[in-house]
Order: sequence, then structure tokens, then C-alpha cells
Amino acid sequence: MAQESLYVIGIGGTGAKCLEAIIQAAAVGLFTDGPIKVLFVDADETNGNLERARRSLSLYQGCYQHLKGEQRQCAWMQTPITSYLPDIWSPFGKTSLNKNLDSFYGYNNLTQNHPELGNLFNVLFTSEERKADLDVGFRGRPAIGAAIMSQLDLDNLQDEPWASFIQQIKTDAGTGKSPKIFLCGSIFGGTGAAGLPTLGRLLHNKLGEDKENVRAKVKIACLFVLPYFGFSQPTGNEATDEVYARADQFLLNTEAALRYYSDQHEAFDHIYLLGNQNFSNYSFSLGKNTQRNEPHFIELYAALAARHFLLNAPDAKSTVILNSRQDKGQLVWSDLPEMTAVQQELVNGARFAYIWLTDFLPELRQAQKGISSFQKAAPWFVEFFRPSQGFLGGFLDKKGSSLPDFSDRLQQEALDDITAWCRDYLRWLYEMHNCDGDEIQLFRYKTFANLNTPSQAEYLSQLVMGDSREQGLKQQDTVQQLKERLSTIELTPPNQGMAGLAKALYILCRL
Amino acid sequence: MKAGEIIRIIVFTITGLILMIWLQPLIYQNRMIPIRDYPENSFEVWLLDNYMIGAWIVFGVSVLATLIWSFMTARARVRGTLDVSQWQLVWWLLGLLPVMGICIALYFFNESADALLSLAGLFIFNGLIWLYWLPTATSSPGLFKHIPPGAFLLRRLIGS
Repeated sequence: MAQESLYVIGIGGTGAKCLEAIIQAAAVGLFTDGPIKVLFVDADETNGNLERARRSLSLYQGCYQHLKGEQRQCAWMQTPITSYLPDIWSPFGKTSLNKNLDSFYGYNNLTQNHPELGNLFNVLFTSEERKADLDVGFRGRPAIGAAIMSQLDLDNLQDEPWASFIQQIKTDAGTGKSPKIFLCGSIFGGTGAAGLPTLGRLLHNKLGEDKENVRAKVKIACLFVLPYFGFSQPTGNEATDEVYARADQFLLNTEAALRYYSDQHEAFDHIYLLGNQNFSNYSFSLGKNTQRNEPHFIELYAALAARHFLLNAPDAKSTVILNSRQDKGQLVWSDLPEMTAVQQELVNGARFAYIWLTDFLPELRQAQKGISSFQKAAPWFVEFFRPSQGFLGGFLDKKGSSLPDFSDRLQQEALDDITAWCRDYLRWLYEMHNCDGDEIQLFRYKTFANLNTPSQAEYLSQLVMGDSREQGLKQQDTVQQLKERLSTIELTPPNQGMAGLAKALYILCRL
Repeated sequence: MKAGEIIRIIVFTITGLILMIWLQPLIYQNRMIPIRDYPENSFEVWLLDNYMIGAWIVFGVSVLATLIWSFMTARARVRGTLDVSQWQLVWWLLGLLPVMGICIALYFFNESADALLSLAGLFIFNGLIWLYWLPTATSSPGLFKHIPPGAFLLRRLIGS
């Protein structure tokens, strides 16, 4: 089977959140070892959601560097995820003009040279909409976004990241790989609703016009996220700005968009729609850094849609697959598609991250103060790091001399990178469970809130909700047992140092 | 506990028993360590009434200390290295058992001043080192494997 590479474009704030979920899912091994290449599309380059997703990507890449090995014993960090340079593309590009509709369309010239077009422009957009600063995105207005996005022309986009993006897809298709493009964003907001169909169509046309008809070798899917959150209308200074996203218009926007897509979907081989009846309540934000909405379980489904597209998408067109929850208002493991595999990987990652942060990190910090006494109480330590030998030991015991030194800079960097990933993964799980309006019954997430006390490690066996293991097995599921088994595990490279320790622990954390 | 650890404890116990009950009496019987302050004709009585009783006490107490250590560490629930390190104190406290056994054996069951030094040396070697330190240093289970003094080097040298 040809190795499939996945190209994911996250459009707008929701698109960025979906990408964040895809990165977290890939980290715990829900994708393959084929590469994922990600691109963010947003007019608001300082959007908080986008910033968080980029940070997750950066933490993933930092950790991945330490874990990559020739032979994989576990799915953790198996996916090389790369981004482009720049990793964000804004429809405003390098424009130095005011980022508003008037400037973008040259409103003054338009009204002078083509008064009929100018009048049409006046009919379509209010004065406030024309002058609204789009630095903060398209303000939840698909009409504004569509006006900007429709001006895109990939033929004229020689600049990065599109040049590399298109070239890589062509190269993949030419070398027998099966590239897949996955676009995700909201259908009810501004950037996603406007950008997703436009970019999909442009990519479809661009790849189709090639002599080699690359389009025939490429699968394109889109994920539309239907409304799943709302917010109160702004008060104070923000209320004076008349052009902003209005939650009460989300359903109306969605209805109109879905009507449009019922005819206009030829660019896509697969379409995924995701929605939730219970709207989570978010704080209002015009955009920029304050638009930082907590992860939502719907984004986990988005990641699973991307996984489905990569691994299981049916070849036959017009296949409809439905997935829904058993009970409105709560989410349990059995509500997730491919529950067994998905649960296993998410749990594996959560157990590892939890133990790493609550037990191994404090222990390794202890080791930083001096390993000679530490290693006596932590036999697992000398399996991965060079032991400190006394005078006699230096003569008699040469074992472990090839192991890396714990105080080595690379090892300390690996400790920091793995720790940062663990924090980020548990932060994502915690915030997803904390979402407003639904009861998420996957993990006992409150234990993720305070990870700085080592005594929390005793909750290891209770982390997963609906854990049907026998009581005896649960009682044996302790950090102590895991530490004892660390000495017995056979590892392929990377099997030394911090990466080896983390990898061994990850494997042992599997239920 | 692993099978290898249990086997090592059994081997040290049996060889310790052979040392104390068979080999060391031979040393005294063959006068390799002469005891002059005890009548020649009742030397066998000294061996039975003094040495053997003392040897059994030292043997029993030392094996008991080893078993207590092994049992406690095999069942112990620890959270981290600080917890594990605190077990060093337990090891030393349990080590007082063989010491007390030796003292009792020497004080109550030895009527020969000539034998005192040699008996003390042999009992320390047998009880404290052979029957307590060696089994615990080579066979402590799990996270406690390096807790007895010298165990870190010893376990690495025997590849365990």
C-alpha cells in the first residue's frame, strides 16, 4: 500500500482548534507514521486559538525530535508533522493597506470608474462592514470573508506557503504516494465559512489543470463544523463596534451555507459535518489574542474525521456514514467511532503524561541534585542513564558506561520537551472535559488540574472512566509496579537516556 | 520477588547453615582454633552446649531478619525515591537482630574466654554478613534492590 501523506488546512479559529486536536490525536498514535503537513489559514494571525494550536504543534515537534527512531515499538510520536514557512497564510498577504473591504476592493476607484459596481457593493455591504478593520478576522460574517477569499487565485500565488504546498502534493502524487487534503473550519463563522469552499475549489481546479491530472490521484475532504458554541452579546467598548460575530446568526448562516453546499460540493471527495445540540458558552471576543476558546469535544471528533479520511474513507461516492451520541448531554467512550483503538491510544497517552508529570518529573528533578544517592533508590534510572560509580565500582563495573549522562544538555532538553508535551496534552484533555453544556465521561479529568503534587500518582488506576478491569488488576496498576517493570522491558532504539525512559514508560502505560 | 532472588536467599541460607553447623565445628574439633581454657575431655560438651546453641540462635535470628526484610520490601508500597531511601533505616534496624543474636550467643552460651574472639568473628561472618547482608544485598526485590549497603555494585556485578 502506498504511503499516504495527509495535508491538513485549518481555516479560521475553529479550523485551528481542529488542527490542535489532530496534533494531539497524532501524538498518541491515532494516525499513521506517514507525514502530516499542516497549514493554518487565518486573516487574524494573532488569534488566540491559532496561537495555541501553533504552540501545540511546536511542542509536538520538539518532543518528536527526541523520539524518532527506526523501529517503532509504540505509536506515540510516530507521525512526522511538519508545517510550512510561513505556517500561517493570511488572505491579506503582505498587504500594507488598511485591512478592510474598501481598501481591498479599491472602493473609491470602484465608485468613480464603475459606479454600477460601486452601487452593488453598497447594496451588499453596509458602510460599517466596508470599513471594519479585518485585522481581527472576518468578524463572524461569511459575506465579508467570501468577498475577500473569492479574490484568491492560486495561479498567482507564487509565494510561500502555497508554492511548497502545491509542489509537495504534485511530488507525492508523482512518486506513487496518495496525498490526501483535509480542510477544516466552521461553517457558521467568518473565515472558515468563507475560506473553506473557496480554498477547496481553488485546490481542486489547480490540481486538475495539470497535464498529469494530479487531481485524480489526490483525495480532498472537508470538515464543516456546525454551530457548537455561543456567546453573549458584547458589552462595554466592544459593543460600540457594530460589526462582530453574532451567535444568534450562527444557525441562520449555517442553514444558508448548507443550502449552498448541497449544489457546490464537486471539489470534495468526502464531506464531514459535525455539530452539537448543546452550545457551549464562550466569552465574547472580537478576535486577536483574546479569541481563545477552550478545546471542545467536537474537535476530538474532527480529529477522528481526519483519521477516518486517512485510514478508512470509502472509495465509493455517495456513501453516507452517520455517527451520533447515545445520550444528549454526555459523551462516553462508546460514543466515539472506532472506540477500541481510539480509547486505547487516548488512554495510553493520558496515563503516560499523568505519571510523567506527577511522578517521574519530580523524581528526575530530584536526580538533578545528584545522582549517586538517587540511583540507589531508583534502580530504573541506571537502565537509561550512566550510573555514578564509586572508586571500586569504577574499576569493577564498566556496565552502563555507554549510556548518556543524565546531566547532558541534550537529556535535559529532552526532559523539558517531553514534559511540555505532557502538560499540553493533559491541558487539552482537561479543557475538553471542562466544556460547558456537556458532561464528558472519558477521564476523571479533575486530577489533571493539579499535577504538581507527587501524591496524585496514586490515582493512576482511576484515571479512566468506565474502566472495566478487575479490581485485582486495578490494585496492581501502580507507579511502583511500572517502575519495577522498567528494568525488564526490551527496547529498540531510541532505548537510552530520556527518550528511552519515556518510550519504555509509554509502552508500559498501555492498558 | 523474582525467582532468582528467592533462590539466592535459599542458597545463602543453606550454605550458611552448612558453615555454622558442620564446617565451623570441624574447625574447633580439629583444634585449628585452640581452646585452652576448657577441659579437653569435655570439649564435645562445649561444642554441644555452647557453640551449637549459640550458632542456632545466630542462624535463626539472622535468617529471620533476612526474611522480615524480604517480606516487608516485597509487600511495601512506596511512592518515590524518598520513600525508598527511608527503607535504609529499616535495613539497619533489622541488622540489629543478628547483632543481638550474636551478643546473646556470646554472653549466655560461651563459657570459654579463649573462644570468644573466634566465635565473635565467625558469628559476625556467618550471621551478619553471610546470612543477612549477602542475601539482602543480592536479593532485595524491586525498587529496594540497591538499598542494602554495597548492593548497587554487587547487583551490577552479578548482573541482576
